[in-house]
Amino acid sequence: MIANPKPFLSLSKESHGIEARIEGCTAFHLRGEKSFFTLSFEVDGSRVDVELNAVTLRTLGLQCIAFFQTLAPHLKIDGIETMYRKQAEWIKELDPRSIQILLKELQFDTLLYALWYMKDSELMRKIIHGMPFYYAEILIEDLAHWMGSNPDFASIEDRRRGRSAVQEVTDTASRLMAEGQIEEYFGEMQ
Amino acid sequence: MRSFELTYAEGHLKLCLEGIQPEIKQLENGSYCLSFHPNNNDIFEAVLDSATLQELGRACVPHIRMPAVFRTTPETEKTFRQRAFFIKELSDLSIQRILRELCCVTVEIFLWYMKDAELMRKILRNMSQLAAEMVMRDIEKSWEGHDPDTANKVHICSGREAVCDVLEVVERLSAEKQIEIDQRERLP
Repeated sequence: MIANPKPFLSLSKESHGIEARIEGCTAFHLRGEKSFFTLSFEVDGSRVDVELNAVTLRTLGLQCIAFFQTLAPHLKIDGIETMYRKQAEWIKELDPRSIQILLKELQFDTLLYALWYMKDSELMRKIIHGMPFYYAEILIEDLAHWMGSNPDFASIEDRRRGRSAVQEVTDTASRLMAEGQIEEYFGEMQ
Repeated sequence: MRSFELTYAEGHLKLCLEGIQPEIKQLENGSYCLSFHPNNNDIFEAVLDSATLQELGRACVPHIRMPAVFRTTPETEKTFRQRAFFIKELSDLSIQRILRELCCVTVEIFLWYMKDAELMRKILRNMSQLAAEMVMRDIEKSWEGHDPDTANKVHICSGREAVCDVLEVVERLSAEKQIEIDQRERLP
């Protein structure tokens, strides 16, 4: 069994940036609701408050579930990559018109990486149907190069690119919804 | 959407990490490193043992809400309405008592959302003529052409909330014995 080190907080400011690190903490406090949360740690007489919004907290929670699936077996998250995909599944529920508006806002590469990473044939079909025929052909051709390369076993750099592409797609869709340009999402599934 | 801020004063470190994606990695010694990289330069890391991370996950789970696209059907909306249909069976006196507790806008939205001519007649009949005319005018002005089964999210939400508000008043007045409800009329 590994003994817990004494909790400590280190804070350093280097030329390249700030590095804050806590270690050995076994107690925390999470407070807040709906859209704003604070995660607090008591570390050797100091207090660390981490302010998170609902999306960040959701990702944090889902990542914990990816390691400890018994926390929420109903979400069926069996790994980190599934966790990232799960957060973007709702995109395929958008109506065809909303998909078209979303596509206009996205870079081709982002779309390519996101579709490769998502591994979702239904989403791919919806996206391809929402594209002009010419671009759809290019997309299919480019995706064909990726076929056989399973994002779950790709290099960490590629997986990160896939994750951030998916994140960009969901962020863009959320922004368009907030602006009233595409169909709003409503309610939240637990 | 992304916001990063770090302040430190008198033993209090405050980090604002809104919209910054966390990353958890398992370390060789079995503990976990939770890190946030708000940009290419700054980093916040917390090294936690397995039990603490599990506890953190457990604390987060109740707050996890997965976004879902709005999909409703007339049947879904009907289930919201059904809970309030019994109101049209109440006595005129009870209706008048309920109306005294509600604001005009709630009544207007409620009547629009309920889509029930009999209920509307009953409610309007128990208002002064002036109030009834005003409510009718406002409903026509604000809601004409909006079907509560196919309206947008905001309107449908307002309708559902109006039903809840009305039912809340009915429940309260019933509990205070100010109105009488035939229990057979109500849905469980």
